[in-house]
Amino acid sequence: MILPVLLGVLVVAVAATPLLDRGLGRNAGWVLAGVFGTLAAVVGAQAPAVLGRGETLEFFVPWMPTLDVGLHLRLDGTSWLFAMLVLGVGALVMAYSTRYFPPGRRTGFYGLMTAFAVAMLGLVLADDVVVMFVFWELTTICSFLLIGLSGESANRPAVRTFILTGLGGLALLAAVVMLMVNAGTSRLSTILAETDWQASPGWSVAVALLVILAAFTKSAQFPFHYWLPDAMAASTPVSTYLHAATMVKAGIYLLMRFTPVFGDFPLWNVLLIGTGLVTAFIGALFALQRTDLKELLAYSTVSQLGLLVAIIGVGTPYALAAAGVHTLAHALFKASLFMLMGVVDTRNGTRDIRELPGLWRAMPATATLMTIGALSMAGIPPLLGFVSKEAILDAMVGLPGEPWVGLLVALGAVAASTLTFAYSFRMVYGAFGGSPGTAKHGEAGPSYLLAPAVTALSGLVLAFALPVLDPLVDRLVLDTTGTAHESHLALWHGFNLPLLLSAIVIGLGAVLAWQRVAVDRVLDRQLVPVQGTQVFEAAYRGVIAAGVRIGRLTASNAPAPYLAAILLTLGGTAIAVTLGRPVVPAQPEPTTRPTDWLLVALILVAVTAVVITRSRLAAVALVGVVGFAVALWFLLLGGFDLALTQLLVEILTVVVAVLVLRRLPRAFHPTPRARRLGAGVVAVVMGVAAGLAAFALTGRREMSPASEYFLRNAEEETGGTNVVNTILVDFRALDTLGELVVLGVTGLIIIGVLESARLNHGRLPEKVAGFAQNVVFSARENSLIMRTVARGLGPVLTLLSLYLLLRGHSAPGGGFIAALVGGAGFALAYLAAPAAARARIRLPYPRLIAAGVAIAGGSGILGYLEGSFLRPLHVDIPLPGDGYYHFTTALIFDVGVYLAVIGVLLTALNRLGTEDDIHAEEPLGPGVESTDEDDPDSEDETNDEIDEGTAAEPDLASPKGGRR
Amino acid sequence: MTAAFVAPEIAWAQLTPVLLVLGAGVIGVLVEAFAPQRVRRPVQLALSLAATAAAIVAVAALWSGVRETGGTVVLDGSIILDGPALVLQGMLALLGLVAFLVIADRTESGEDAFAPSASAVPGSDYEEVARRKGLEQTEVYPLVLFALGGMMIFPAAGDLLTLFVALEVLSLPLYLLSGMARRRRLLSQEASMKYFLLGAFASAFFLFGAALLYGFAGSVRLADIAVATTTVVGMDGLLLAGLVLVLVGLLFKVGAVPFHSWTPDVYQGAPTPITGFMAACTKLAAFGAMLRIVYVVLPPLEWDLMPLLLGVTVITMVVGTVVAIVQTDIKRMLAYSSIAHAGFILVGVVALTQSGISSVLFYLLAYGLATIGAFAIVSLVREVNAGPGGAVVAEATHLSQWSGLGQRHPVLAGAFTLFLLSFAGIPLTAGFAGKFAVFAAAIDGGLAWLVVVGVVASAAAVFFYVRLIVLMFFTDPIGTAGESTTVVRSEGLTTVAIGLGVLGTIALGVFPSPLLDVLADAAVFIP
Repeated sequence: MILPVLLGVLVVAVAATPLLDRGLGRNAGWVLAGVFGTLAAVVGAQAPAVLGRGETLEFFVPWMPTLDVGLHLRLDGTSWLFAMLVLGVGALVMAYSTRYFPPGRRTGFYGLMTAFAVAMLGLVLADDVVVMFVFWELTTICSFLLIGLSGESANRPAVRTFILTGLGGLALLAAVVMLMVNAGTSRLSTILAETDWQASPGWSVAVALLVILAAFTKSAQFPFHYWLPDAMAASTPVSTYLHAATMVKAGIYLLMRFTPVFGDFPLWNVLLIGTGLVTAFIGALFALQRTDLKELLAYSTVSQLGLLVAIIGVGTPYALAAAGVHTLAHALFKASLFMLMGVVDTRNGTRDIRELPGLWRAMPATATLMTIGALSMAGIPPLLGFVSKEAILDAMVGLPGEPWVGLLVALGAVAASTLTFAYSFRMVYGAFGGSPGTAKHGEAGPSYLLAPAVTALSGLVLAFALPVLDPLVDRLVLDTTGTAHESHLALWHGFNLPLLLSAIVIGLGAVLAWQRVAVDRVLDRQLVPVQGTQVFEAAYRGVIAAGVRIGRLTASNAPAPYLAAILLTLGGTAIAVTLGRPVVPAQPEPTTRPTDWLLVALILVAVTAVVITRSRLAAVALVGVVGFAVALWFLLLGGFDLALTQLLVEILTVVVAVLVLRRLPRAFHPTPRARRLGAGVVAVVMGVAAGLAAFALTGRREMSPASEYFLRNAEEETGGTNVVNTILVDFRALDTLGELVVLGVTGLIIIGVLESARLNHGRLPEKVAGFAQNVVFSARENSLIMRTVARGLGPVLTLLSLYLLLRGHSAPGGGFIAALVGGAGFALAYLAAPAAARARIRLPYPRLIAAGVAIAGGSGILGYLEGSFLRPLHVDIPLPGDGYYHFTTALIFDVGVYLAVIGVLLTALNRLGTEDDIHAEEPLGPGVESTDEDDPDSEDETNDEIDEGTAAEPDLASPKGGRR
Repeated sequence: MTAAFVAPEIAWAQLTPVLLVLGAGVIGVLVEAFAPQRVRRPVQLALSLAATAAAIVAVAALWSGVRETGGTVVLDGSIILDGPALVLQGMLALLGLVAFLVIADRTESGEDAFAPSASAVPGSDYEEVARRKGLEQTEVYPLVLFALGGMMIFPAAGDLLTLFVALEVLSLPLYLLSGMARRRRLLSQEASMKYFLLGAFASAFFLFGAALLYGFAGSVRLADIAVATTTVVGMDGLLLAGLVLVLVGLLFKVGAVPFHSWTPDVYQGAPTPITGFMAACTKLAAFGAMLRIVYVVLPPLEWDLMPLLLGVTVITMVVGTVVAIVQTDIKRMLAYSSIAHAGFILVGVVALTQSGISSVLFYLLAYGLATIGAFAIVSLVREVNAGPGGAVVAEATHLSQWSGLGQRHPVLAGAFTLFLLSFAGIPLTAGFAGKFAVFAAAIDGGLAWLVVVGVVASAAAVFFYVRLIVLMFFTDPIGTAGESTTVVRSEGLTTVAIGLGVLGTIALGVFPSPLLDVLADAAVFIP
């Protein structure tokens, strides 16, 4: 139960920070330090059980059982060490922060630091890969926010750090998912113990690489090492806690956790040792180059982490023992060095060794403590750093395999350590040596120096109490390698190879320190041509630029390119499929006749002409030609009904389109050649695809059961022989009624839209008006023939339409076709009129629509006489003489259809054709009178009645009344 | 007609949720026609909220029945009320309820998000008069109800015709609503027009595909088509072309690349509350329908059609993410992010495993909550006219206008941050649980490489979310933007919606299990 309590207390502490901060300001850190310290003591109290008796504390609550994720916590030796670091160093940093910051409130800082402690503690205690990943990401977020706290200049470093470590986190996520799917559980200890790592070497290698990638980004290994110095934009307590002592150790922790399974993978060994040593060496080299103490320490951290990675890569029990000791030693000396660097910085206002005077006299306590820390870092006896370095060298020499390999690895470590010695000296000498000067603000007070003193001195004390560490190291080795180990840490192991190597390190390091002027001269240049941050920024900019480029592809305001993308995708797919030569079944019978080709040619010509022409009117006419050709085709195929409908619809479409066209410029907007080319390509691709699809996909089935049913039973059940009409008014009358309503609504919408948007009141485009004086545009002279024809044809067409209506049930015709014929008659009358005002057909078209829908619906209600809505009734009316007239209520229904369609057509004709009236009231020139006596606007608003105001005499019509 | 005609048995009880919503829409139209103007808004709002709440209750009441029987076939197979359908209807009603709160909200000065008279020509005198008279376009409520009703039928549709009708019922009101923004009217009308044009094409594709499938199977019922895939031979061309076209129609609705191009324009131009509603609910409905088609019809054709779907999935994730990075308008950024999310959800769809269904459903809810919440916040952040006592005008959608928002309005910015983190899939938010579930399902289905692409895309996606967070909290406002961007005070409904979104996002993130359990139970399609 102790483990959730640890996390819980910290969470409560996070929640309490605003209150603490309000009351205590920066001194809230003392309270938090107390909390951290107490918790550290609690964890410390588990030492006898965990380290002494070898127990493992566990805790479990289910979290997402469906995904098999639970809150598994576990405290073994490894977790114990890291938990102690998190809580112990945390307590000290909190105490240190109270003096580092100037007085004032620090809510964000304390809250985030405590939140980070929760995340880090959770990470090292988690025994569930998902929970571990969650905490891993939380540490990344906390780090991002804590760096960002330092103000505007820290933004880029914060983002860079976040993205890089976030990438590592995703690698971990990938590894976690792979492990979970393979093992069927998310419990880390089970996964590690039970997975068969030999079964699929490729898979194991992938997991190993992902884990390594995650660890390397988090622990700043080459080539990701640059983020750590970059992150130094954060305040010193943050750098101390996150970027020296704990967060960067998360990668180390991860590698230790996976050592039991990957420790004997050659790939693991090679990658870890190789990268670790390279990182250790270049980190130390860069550190030697720096003059900013903080940067120097950051590179030093990089270098030390490299050493840790390398020694974990060795993988033997001795190596892991050394890794454990060095993790502890590094945390202690690096924390104290960072904190002391912060002291120097705040007391002098700079941390550049070129600007710092010799502070030995001015800040004696700081100098002493820093020297102790630096000695530990350099590996000088009698300090813990020496012990751990000895252990590392010893383990490296004992690398299994050829002895020379071990020696070579150890020599690599020696090189890095030599440089470490040199920069340790450089740091202490740079800050405190040289001609004595005074600190700007004098020596720091005891409360400021308390925390660094504790860490620095514990490195000294522990070196003399090494047996205390033995159980910890043994347990850690047991956890990470599975072998029992008895370590005997000591300052003195007698004369052996590691001691000799240590001596070499100290000797060479001393030479470098002595020749520091020469060393500086050699190093005072750009060592590598590329810098990590620059590479990052370049990649970053590259992604942005690529995004802009892709974005530009779709960043058009015209919908045409959008559509082109969709169409090209589809058309391309279709053509690709066709090129794959799919098997197309043969047509059941020959389908092509010579006349078809004639029509195809006609349509092709017309379509090509439509595309080429610039004139809108010509385009409408040409589209009409295509429509007529198709109607002809229907006729040739025997579809008389269909042909008739198509023909009539074409006619009326052209008429209505012409009415609309009068409002538009005569020619299409000119389009650039490139645009036309592009559109042409899309059109051709789509056309070819559609043609191929039509050829391949149609006409290969027998008649559907529904069609067969209608053909067979229509006459018997409805008394009608025109199957199309019986479907419309008998079988599917409800559908027809619905469509009728839609049609009627369309008519009303035409009125509504033209009215409310005032489209009727706009001026005609200039281009049309410009021809106003042309005699060709004089409606009166022009329409003479039309008027003559219309006078005779109008009544004929009306009669014809009534005839078609009545006979529709049994022969081609019916309400819809009849209405179209009637509508054509009205259109003719309309077009023939010399002035729009005279052309008004004085029928209350909205009422016609309403009446049509009402009659159709009403005839449906009659159906209730026989049981259901819209059921047609049949009556045979005896005719004078012989025979009967077969009457059915379906005819009444058809009358409804007729009226509604007529109404809609009239609406379109009248509403689209009225604008000339409106303009007619503005005299065009001298002597031209307006034909309208009433204000057309008010008349439009009372819209549905016969227009009395325009009942003018034909003679009054201006000769130029219709010219616009 | 014939005496042999037998009216189908209609299981009315199972249709209750849909009927409630559509019925409320019809009543809403009558309210528009007959109620005096004063009372319209309160009546409409009460009606809408009551209808959606009642629909949620109805779904809950139907739940145990569906759990026992696995579902009911209603209307002779036109509508299938099985687990996923019912779950989606419940989610849609819930998200609809939340969306209504945002839609109904007004600023302190009584302005809602919609044009006083949507049909007026922008900038005309007529519009000005309508504005001054304080007209309100309360038709919005029935329109949204109709759209919601269509969405609720969509995932339950058992045949292609019902599917098409539902598609139109949900689309047409949305086309209209997109053009009704109070501010930036031309942008809004442009959005509406583009949405309509491209949507009409997508509908045409869908219909063409449905016709081809009918030609193949001789039936529009999905179950029959599924049977025909294994029995009918020699007409694979019809089947494949038909399915591709039907899928194109659906992919258009979810905004998958390359059928996504309408998304940014429409999301940007539409009134922000509608954008939130549309982004969350349309996606929910369309993915529901797609799941049904993919899981019921597709399996025998896995080898033929999977490459297409996988390709779409990959480029959707990549394009959505990459292009989102470079956006400077917050609504466009969220639009591209929604495209990327469509890709992530597709990962779950193409998994073709049982867990794929439940994970997609979970993801959709998590995404929906965060989306409505995020757009609700966008609707509150406004520009202020320059000069002393400047009037609060349109939404401040340029990213730079958001800088420093976190310093001045920490709670609002905090909520936005939470939604962004959920989009990014950061642990302890609903988005993480969803992403995790979807990716796990895909790995179950043997698509590890797809998950790798997905993970990389999410990594890049994290970038632009984080950039916005940095902007809000760590960047000082540019110039005098301190005055030029403000958070408008509203009547409070939006705050409730945002609160619900925050609660849901956290609750689903911390305790996803109960819902995941329920979904796992429910995730079985009946043919």
